[in-house]
Amino acid sequence: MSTHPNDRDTPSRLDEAVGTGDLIVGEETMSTAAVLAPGHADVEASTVPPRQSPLWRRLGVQFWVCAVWVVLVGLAGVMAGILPIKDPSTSDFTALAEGPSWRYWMGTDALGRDIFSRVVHGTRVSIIVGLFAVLIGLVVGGMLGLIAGYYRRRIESVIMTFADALVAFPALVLLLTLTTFLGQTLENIVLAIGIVTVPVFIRLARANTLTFAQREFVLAAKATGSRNFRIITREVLPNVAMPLMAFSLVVVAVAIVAEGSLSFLGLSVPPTTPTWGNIIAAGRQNLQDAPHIVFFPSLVMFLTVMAFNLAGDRLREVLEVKEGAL
Amino acid sequence: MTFATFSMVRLLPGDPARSFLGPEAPQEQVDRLSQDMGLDKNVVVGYVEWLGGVVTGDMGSSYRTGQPVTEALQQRIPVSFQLMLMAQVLALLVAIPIGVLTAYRAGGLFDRIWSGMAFATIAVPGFVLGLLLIYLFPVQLGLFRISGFTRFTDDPLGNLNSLVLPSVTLAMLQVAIYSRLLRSDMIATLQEDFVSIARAKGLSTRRVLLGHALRPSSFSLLTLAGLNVGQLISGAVLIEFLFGLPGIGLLMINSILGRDLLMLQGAILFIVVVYVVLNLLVDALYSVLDPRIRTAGGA
Repeated sequence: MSTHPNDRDTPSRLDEAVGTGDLIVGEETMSTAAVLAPGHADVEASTVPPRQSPLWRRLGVQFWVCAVWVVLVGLAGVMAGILPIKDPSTSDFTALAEGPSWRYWMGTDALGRDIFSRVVHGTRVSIIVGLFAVLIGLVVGGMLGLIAGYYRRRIESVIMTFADALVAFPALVLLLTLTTFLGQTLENIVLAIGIVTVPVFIRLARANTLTFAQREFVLAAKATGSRNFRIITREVLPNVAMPLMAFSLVVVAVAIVAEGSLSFLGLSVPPTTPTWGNIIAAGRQNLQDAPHIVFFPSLVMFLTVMAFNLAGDRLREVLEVKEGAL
Repeated sequence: MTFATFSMVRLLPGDPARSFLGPEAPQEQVDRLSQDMGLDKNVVVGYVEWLGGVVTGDMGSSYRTGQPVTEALQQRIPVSFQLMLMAQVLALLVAIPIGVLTAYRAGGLFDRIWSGMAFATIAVPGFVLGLLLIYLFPVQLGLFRISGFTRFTDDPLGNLNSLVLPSVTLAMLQVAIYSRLLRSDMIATLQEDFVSIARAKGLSTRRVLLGHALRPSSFSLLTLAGLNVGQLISGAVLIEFLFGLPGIGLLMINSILGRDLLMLQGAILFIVVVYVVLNLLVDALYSVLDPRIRTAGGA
């Protein structure tokens, strides 16, 4: 400590940087609730007195509507193969670019393929990418953030430099470069989007760890001679995990949009696999005479992204209020 | 960072010489071409040579068109720059009044409607929003250009016409974020004593809001607007592709699709350098803009 004269004011300045840094990262790759939340949370916190009703009730109707939609979309993706729907790649040449009907709920595309079926199958890619990419970000980023926030000093600066280096690329540019470099398979798309989400989780986990690392129960555990590993897993992790998991719902939404963008550019999984993004991209040519081709997959994507955003945000709010009441 | 860019691009799967000449070309021809391109060299040697070129302004030429990378970048920089500038200005022009209004009547009808709308806009991916605008304006109403670009020097009106939809799309994505940020800052400012004093002096609401409260509330907005360039760049890549605007983003995507290595390296390098420099500038500006940081010791 004493070797560095600046050390004394470093923590506070770092914390300050984390505050703004998180916002910016939230901006850059997340773009959502990170910024919407402040105003939102203020109003909620000041008008809602701390109640002790059960968690599921405090989450409110809106949260559960979102959750139901997410589960529905997830199930559709998992069971796409066994659902009694038409084959997503079979063309019906008697019905090219036809509007919605009883036979084709969402109409057909320019090649006469059933859009409903394609959207359902496209759900697979979106959900797989959304969940697994964020899992990578959550586990890797969360772990690194915990280590950085708990041990501080040199290891922290190494980890934070790594996070900063990743953020030095605009998100989509990094993503494009990574996917081109890795090759366009589903695993690689997951990996690339996962890597892009890592620095966000590092910062969030570190910031949360910093606030807990100095709390009484951690100091008590240290005083009674617990080993660092035990303190991290038993004392710090349970407290850091909840906000991280709530935030990861919002990141799932971002990952889905990122995959959609890649698909739309034709740089995601090969075009033979239907994804929301490539259905939309294919419908671009027929926007004038068959807008439904673009409309339905866009709507499903919008609702899904919105559901993840709202659910994640609500969860964060509820958890924050609880923390404020402590 | 430059090395990361270079080696990442160099390690792309697929032999660019092979994909350029087509699968039928004889192997010796492919070998000769990749020798011309310097692909046979070690990554590190290739990197040093490339970096030397970058410093002297020679970043090689495109494999496909033979156009020098530097020249291609020069042609495309103004397009991207104009797009982002127009989008940013438009976003601030719309977001500031909305932010002020929603903060003044926080909890009111307009505030609640906007809060919902802002949340919805944020859930719309940029390319979907762009397609929606294309459907509404050019397709249904016959307004504005769908794609393509006219240089300002050739036809100023045509230039603006070709950039209206792209910049509106790009701006709409920012408006929600900016207005919400300004709103929450402004609500905090409106509770300060000096605002009450201004009101007590009998100043009109407009004077209080715009003359007294807006300036101290806008620091984090301006900072964010500067730091938001990364998202703006990401958005611009998609939007240039969607609207067929010949900017850096479209250059990058076409280079990826065509495995045009040197062009891709040049485009990525340019984007990253601009991004890093802007971030440094904004960091420096932050303390200039926000007096609270400068007086933190005294307070």
